[in-house]
Amino acid sequence: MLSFIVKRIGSLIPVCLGVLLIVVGMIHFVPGDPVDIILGDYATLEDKNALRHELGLDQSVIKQTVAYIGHAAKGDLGHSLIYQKSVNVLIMERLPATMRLAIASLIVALLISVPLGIIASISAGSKLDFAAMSFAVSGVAIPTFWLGPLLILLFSVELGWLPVSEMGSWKSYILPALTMGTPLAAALSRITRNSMLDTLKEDFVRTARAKGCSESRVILSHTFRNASLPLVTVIGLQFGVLMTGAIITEKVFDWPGLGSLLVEGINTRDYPVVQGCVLFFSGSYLLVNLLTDIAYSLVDPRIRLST
Amino acid sequence: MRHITFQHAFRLPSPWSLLATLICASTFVTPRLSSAPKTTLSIAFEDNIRSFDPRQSVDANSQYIEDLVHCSLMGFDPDGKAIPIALEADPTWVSPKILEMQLRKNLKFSDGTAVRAEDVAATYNSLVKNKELRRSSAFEGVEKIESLSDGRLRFTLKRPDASFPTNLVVGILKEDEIKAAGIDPSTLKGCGSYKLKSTGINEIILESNSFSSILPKLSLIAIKIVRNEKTRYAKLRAGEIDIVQNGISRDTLRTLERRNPNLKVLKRPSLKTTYVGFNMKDSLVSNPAIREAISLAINRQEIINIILNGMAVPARTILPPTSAYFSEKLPKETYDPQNAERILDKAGFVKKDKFRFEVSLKTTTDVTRISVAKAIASQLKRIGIKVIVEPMEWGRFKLDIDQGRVQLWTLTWVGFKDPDIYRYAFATENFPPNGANRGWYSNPTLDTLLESGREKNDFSDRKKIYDQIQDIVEHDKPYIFLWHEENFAVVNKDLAGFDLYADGRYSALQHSYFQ
Repeated sequence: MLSFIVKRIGSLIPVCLGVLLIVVGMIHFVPGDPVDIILGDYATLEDKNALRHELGLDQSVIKQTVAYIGHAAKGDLGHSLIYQKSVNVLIMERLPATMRLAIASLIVALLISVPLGIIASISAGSKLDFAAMSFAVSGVAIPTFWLGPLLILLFSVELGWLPVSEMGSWKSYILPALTMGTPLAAALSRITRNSMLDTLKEDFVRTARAKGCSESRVILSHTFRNASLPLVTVIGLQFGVLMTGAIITEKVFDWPGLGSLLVEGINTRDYPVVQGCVLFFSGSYLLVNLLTDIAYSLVDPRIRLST
Repeated sequence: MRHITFQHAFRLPSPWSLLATLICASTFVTPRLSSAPKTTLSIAFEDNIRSFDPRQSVDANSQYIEDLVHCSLMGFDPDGKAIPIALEADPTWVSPKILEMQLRKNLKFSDGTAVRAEDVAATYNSLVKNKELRRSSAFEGVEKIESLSDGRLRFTLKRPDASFPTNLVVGILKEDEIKAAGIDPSTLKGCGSYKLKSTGINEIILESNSFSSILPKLSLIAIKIVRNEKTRYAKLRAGEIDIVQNGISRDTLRTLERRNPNLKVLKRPSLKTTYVGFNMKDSLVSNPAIREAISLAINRQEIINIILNGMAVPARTILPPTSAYFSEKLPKETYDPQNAERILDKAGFVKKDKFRFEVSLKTTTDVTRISVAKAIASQLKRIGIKVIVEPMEWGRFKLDIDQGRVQLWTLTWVGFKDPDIYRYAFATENFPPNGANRGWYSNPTLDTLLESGREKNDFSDRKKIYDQIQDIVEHDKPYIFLWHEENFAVVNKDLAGFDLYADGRYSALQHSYFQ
């Protein structure tokens, strides 16, 4: 098991390095001067040059890249040009908001998808199955930038039940979590249904029924438990997507998370913030993948042996 | 094998019980209405506050906060005219290079301590000495700052600069805070009407400063950072926001005005001037006949009415008509496409296959800017000029202009308070990267006048110089001035005493209240 984990971690190092090089290199080829944004239009050339020197932007791209990689290896993601704060601090300030939204979205997705998938599988071919799968197709097709404003208009503006945006009480989580959770719920309900249908054909299900188990026990304890393996894998991968893909939802709901930090960084040419966020996103995605692999190998030892 | 059905496997509540639960939940989450007037106001800003240190505030939002939390020697009235704030009267030029002023008595910081001339001197000295401070460039021409007896202050300049009093708008800090390593927002003491209560990522709360000379009626102001325009619109409609200034598109504004009786729209002429710039290094557009013809062929009023929802006034020069330095002698802008065609014919630019020549017009990716550029292209097509509209992301756009990779471009001058803006925009010494003469326009007569305008302290002398400057710029047309856009705000209809300022500041909040 330990060698499996070490091998997986080892394979992540070149990926991390590649991401680092691409991000640091590419951002310097984007036109636009952060000094212009920081000092505004009325600053003198002397002031601009002084600030450029202070921020190290007068050095060559190679020098800046090497210095950045050196610092990043020590865990220092640099200093924001705009906020005049450490990027590590900025990320840590915003991370809880993104984590909470990702978890809330995952809960919403599971609350919708698991019952829907089970219902669809045990009523396979019926109108109920058709309705559930129609939801699944629509959910995948609906973009978040459309669903979010629509939910706001209905529940916040017209009905006045929920706040439009801002992170605050539990009510403020409902709409963004629904927005992010719906497409995921749609995908998960299809996976649940298919996996359940396969498992329902297994011999042990027939045996459980023959032993006189109640139908709900057969479905939940015997079938769903065994059918949930692909679900675990997908949930793990999707959690990484939720962590890194909340940019649009965060923008629509003004969620103070990492996605909005990244967009602010791009708009203001805050190179260290953009680099830090992208690195953090890649790192978390890789970590979630690693944890999923480990979890999967724990559930199914054949995976460990074949790697 | 038994046939499995959903009903067989699970028992679900009836649809009626689900509906009852939903109604109960809606009662629980619907906010209760209160009849008492509100004392907390919510404003939506489009972007973050970058710094709470007034010496570092170069972005508009930081300066809006600075205006509420700090007092400054000078400020601006609703029309953008410089007025004394923490001073007894306007500063006096005792010589072309020495400016003296008297600090107002009984001014206090939010901890109750008096504002002293030493605090003012320390604030401005830190800007003179510390080049890393973002606003230090405005004080490069300062030789020394002295606090004299009885709250008098003296600024000695290295060279005469009549526009200098408009720089004295930096919020006054306590001398001991300046000596500390950095400004901590949680302990920051200002002498404005409000003080910082909390500073979150997306929300800044200000509370009234009980030591302020004017005690505000609104006890709390919540500044919410709402970056998405659609979200700002929804928050306004839902009553979560009381003021949004300029942060709603003009099309949405029409809908809001029609549909929401709980909101009102305020408008005021602003200090913004939109123009079409010409690259004088370009062999084609450096031709005066082409610039003249383009100016005559643009129907400003038509674009204002259709694209800007009528919320602008045609411009004749950079300065808006509300400026004391605006020259009344300037000819009114005219729309005369026939004359434009005659001028082009006479200059030898005759039509070949519908068009005389082709030019590129660069603009930003802002939706309104693109619409304006397309409208200009369409109007110029009528006189046989083919315009290629090139919308560009801001960084690339600015780089192209600064490096002269442009023929025509549209942009807006924002926030200028003094006619010295002409020197920054048109003096030969201000070619990029030194300044903003991005059209590479050069006129030695104008350069001499711009220097004189900078040095003369007497208003009437200065006015005469700037009248000449405006005449020259009008004649040479390095820019075609299009319009001065109006500032507008969508405001809760119960909010009284709130007026718009030409530069967008929120100074009126100290007199505002909910009815």
